Amino acid sequence: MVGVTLVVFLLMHLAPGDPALLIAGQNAPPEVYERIRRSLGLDRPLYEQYLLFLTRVGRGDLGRSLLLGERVADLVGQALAVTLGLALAGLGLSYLIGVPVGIVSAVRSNSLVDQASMVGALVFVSVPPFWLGLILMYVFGLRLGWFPISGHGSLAHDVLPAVTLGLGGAALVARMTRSAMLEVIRQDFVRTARSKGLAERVVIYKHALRNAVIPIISLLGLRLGWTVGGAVTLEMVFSRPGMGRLLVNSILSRDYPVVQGVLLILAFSVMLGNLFADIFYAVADPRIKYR
Amino acid sequence: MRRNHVGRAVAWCGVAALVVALVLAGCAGGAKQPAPEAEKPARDTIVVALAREGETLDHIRTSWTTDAHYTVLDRLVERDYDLKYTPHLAESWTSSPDGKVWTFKLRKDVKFHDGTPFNAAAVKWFFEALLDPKNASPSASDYAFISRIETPDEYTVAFHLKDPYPNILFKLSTTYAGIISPEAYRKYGPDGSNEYGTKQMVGTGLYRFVEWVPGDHLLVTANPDHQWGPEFVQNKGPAHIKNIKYRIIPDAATRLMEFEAGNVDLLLEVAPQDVERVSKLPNVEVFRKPHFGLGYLAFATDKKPFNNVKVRQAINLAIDREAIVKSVFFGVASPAYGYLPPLLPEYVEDRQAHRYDPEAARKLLAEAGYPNGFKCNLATLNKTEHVRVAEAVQAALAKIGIQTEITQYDNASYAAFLKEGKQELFIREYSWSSADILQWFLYGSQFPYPNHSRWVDKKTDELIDAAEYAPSMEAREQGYKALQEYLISKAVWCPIWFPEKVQAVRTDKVANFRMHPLYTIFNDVTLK
Repeated sequence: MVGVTLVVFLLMHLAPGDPALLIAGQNAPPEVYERIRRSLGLDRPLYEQYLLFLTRVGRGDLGRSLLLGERVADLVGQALAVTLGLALAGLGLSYLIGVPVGIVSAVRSNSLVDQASMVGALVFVSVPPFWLGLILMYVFGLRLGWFPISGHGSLAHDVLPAVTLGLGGAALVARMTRSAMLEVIRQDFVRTARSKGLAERVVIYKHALRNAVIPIISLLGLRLGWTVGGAVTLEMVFSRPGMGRLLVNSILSRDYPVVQGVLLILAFSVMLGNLFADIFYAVADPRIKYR
Repeated sequence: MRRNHVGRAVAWCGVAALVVALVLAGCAGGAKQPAPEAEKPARDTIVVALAREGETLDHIRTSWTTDAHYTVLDRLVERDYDLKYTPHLAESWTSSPDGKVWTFKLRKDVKFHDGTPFNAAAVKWFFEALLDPKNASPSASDYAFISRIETPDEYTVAFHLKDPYPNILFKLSTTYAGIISPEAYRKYGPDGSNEYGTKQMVGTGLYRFVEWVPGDHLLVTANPDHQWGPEFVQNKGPAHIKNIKYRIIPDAATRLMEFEAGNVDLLLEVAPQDVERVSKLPNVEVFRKPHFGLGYLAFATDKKPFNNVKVRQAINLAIDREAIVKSVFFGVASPAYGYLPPLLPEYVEDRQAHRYDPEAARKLLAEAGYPNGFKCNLATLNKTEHVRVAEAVQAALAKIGIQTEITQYDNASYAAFLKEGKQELFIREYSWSSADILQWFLYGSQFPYPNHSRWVDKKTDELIDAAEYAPSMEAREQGYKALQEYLISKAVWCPIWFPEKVQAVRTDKVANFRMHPLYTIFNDVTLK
């Protein structure tokens, strides 16, 4: 985490441009610009600014936005709720769609269904989410009028961005599920289960899936971070006041404390995703235990 | 088992076919359903799309203003549809014979949204707050011509100026001169709860501030007490439309779709490439007017080879302005032959100096000592149109032997880049409705920023002083004309395009909208 803070801090401060100039506007005389710089604390040496930032973070204080004057924790908190909701919906959808498709593809491998769903998966993995978002917006928002085109507020507003996010994720989950299942299905214990005369449904869901689930869960840990990242880019297209908007606006206006706050939280969410994945391992496979 | 397999495959194919059919039906323009209920604005609200929002609505502390500043705040002086100065919060004004004292008589029936009476003390407080070094206002230098403000009686304000300055009317009519309630600023400003500009915004305007949800929307509601509409509107009383919802939609494609679907009633900016498409939409009227601005190629005039006037003249002759207007702006702009927008009375144009003549350009370049051209950097903002202009300029300059490499910057890094003086050739665009923009960019004391053309020239300073502090508007006009003729003779800039302002309105929902060259006027607008 400290490494993340250092990289984030240095990246922002070494990038050209500074917030004082943006606040002052290009017509402001130099003395006004200098005064604004001083009032923002940007005239202090870089290491001093960084140490100040670290001690504050240690106390749970993310600082205040240079431009809005509001607490970064409040800004990030409001935005996080919007983004996290979308990311979780997207992640949920990607597993809801991806796992069944993957299982069916594996069970009926090399059939038409398998080939069709894998081609579909390839398409959705390859398409950039913002483009898919625009297409869905055009078709289901503008042409068919089923869902709101953009904005935030009701459940209906969440459908298109969540589906956009979910489809890309589902494609990956389906491919992962298929290959994991294929590996398991060919193993002896599955054959044994079948030979015992168990119903195909029980063989697949109870014996095979349970054993194929580890890579699928580890993907969940990785996907959580990725999905938050995906939600962030989609927010610009769907005009949602989430972390993406906050991040892009704060980068463009060089509002350092906000950028640092957002990135810290994003890094934290990736770590949290991995932690959850580890916990799920233990639940899914009792052989994995922490000593 | 086998049958089951086939059955499932058929079912999957069916689902896939259904999805494809739906997508195709949608793309082919299938019957459009009405927008869902949640998205439909209530009949008492007009929805306006904003491409971006400022970081704060406190215009004492920022140089970014939004359209909402115009509706929530009023100014002493306004500009009508023909840009003539007309009274608003000031009923009338006079200037002393020496032009150094301007006296404004204020309306007596005005009060702020928080109930604070509007009077001379409020006006004095506001402009003093702008000038107060403690507030570090970016607009302070705009009002530095004021030496002191006096209030002879409750409804009279006298601005005492350092020099005669007829352009004071312009300065008092910009969005930066919108008068804030002193009481509200004391309570919510930086010395109070520090909520002014994010949770509070108090003026005397047609609309009151309700809320701003950053990244989502800004809502204002009609001020029922408003009885002081300016002369050039028919409805002097409260607005006909109860609420204005400014929806913040940064993505241009999304903005257009929302407008097409009828969820946005008014588009304040239509990009040149979208104008034709928007014009063809049913129930939509498109308004086009020349914009107060100029797009130009600038030189670092103190660096070799751009310190040679012949090189600058050669570049001016190498650019085909008509072609750029057609290819980059799809005709939604006009070729620029001068340094100020044509709508300004001070405008001077010189088609000869800005003609397209690559042959003459090559000759000039050879005379300047560069028969084989040279290599240099061409910087631009990463805005789509600017990048395309840069590419067109690159191609044009290559024809006379000048090889350029394009570098793109975002807003903040571009400002830093220019401030550090690393530029050689660079694309710029300004928006400003007064001739003093030439002072901002080319006056010696503005070096190195915002004088990023790095043009420090005694004669220019003299001509600017003569124009800016001329005793009358007529003398000022003559002064600025002389300045432009001089600047053109020195080829200080290479003007390329005059942008156009394009707005679009849903005629099935909105009536009586009239486009103003500078602002959005809601006094007479009604909903259907």
